[in-house]
Amino acid sequence: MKGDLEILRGIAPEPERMTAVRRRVLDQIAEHNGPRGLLLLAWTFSAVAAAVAMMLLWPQEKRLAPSWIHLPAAVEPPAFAYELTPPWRGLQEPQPATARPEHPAIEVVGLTDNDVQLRLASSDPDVILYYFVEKSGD
Amino acid sequence: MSATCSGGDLFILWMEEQVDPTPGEAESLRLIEQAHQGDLEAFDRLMRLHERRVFRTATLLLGRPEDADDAVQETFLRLYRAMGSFDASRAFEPWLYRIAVNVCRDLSRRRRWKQWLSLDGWLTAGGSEPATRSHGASREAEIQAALARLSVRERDAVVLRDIEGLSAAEAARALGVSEGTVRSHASRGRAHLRKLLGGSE
Repeated sequence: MKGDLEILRGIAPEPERMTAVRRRVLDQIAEHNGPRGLLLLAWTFSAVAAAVAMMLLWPQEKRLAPSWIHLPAAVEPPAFAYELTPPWRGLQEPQPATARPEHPAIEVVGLTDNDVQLRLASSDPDVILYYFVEKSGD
Repeated sequence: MSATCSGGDLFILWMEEQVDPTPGEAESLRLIEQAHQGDLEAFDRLMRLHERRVFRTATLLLGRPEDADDAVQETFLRLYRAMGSFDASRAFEPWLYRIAVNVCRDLSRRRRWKQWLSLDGWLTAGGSEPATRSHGASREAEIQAALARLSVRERDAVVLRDIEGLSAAEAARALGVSEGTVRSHASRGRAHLRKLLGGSE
């Protein structure tokens, strides 16, 4: 049995045949790589172009310059309830509300010693406004 | 019974000693990395390094050197395509054998399907099997014919473990089964081989 199996370990390809096999493999790889390289380049170019187009066409968040308004001395939660005329309709001066509006989109997003930052959303979901209001009476 | 067992054990021990020197793993890893970066010369060297083993495995699994050429070609093509997914922290050879074994299984399946579709192939199918070539008094053909009579699983396990010299773990990885399964299939395959080649032990 030993000798028998040694014979099998001696199985070897003819060098010329293996040379031909390797050549065919390398030819196929080269053939495959050529179009694939071009395809990859074209794909990359299209992807970049699409990304740039999306960036340009994507609805931009509309931001306005901070507008300074005065809050009452006592900064109580209802004091944040300001009726703000939508600034995108002419940047009018915000007026204090007589009652807290039911506007759910107003929220305090920052509070420092002197400033209160309000985040206001309009009825237009694409419009988000940030207002900085100064605490008065400090 | 005990004599049989001890003979079998000796046979296995002998088999595990008679292993071809493994082409440098580090060299293979270096070449595969270079090839992955587009160096086709490195891939050519990688093929040269492993072609003999792949050819031998394919010849033994398929039973026909004519098919082995196709198997070698397809194995290296698949290897090239799969290089990106190779995990360099694991051994290269079992991975290569796994590709080769899968290629051989695919080719076998295709060959059987072709034979089934073609009446001519059906009628002559037996003629091309090593079993009938063993008539030619070649001991090598006889052994190959005996191997061809093993079940696919037994043959795969015997070829990888005993002829290619893979460890049980490596063969298991190459065949996609557990180590225990490989051991069991190899053991059954050896017993079957001994029976088929009766008297040569």
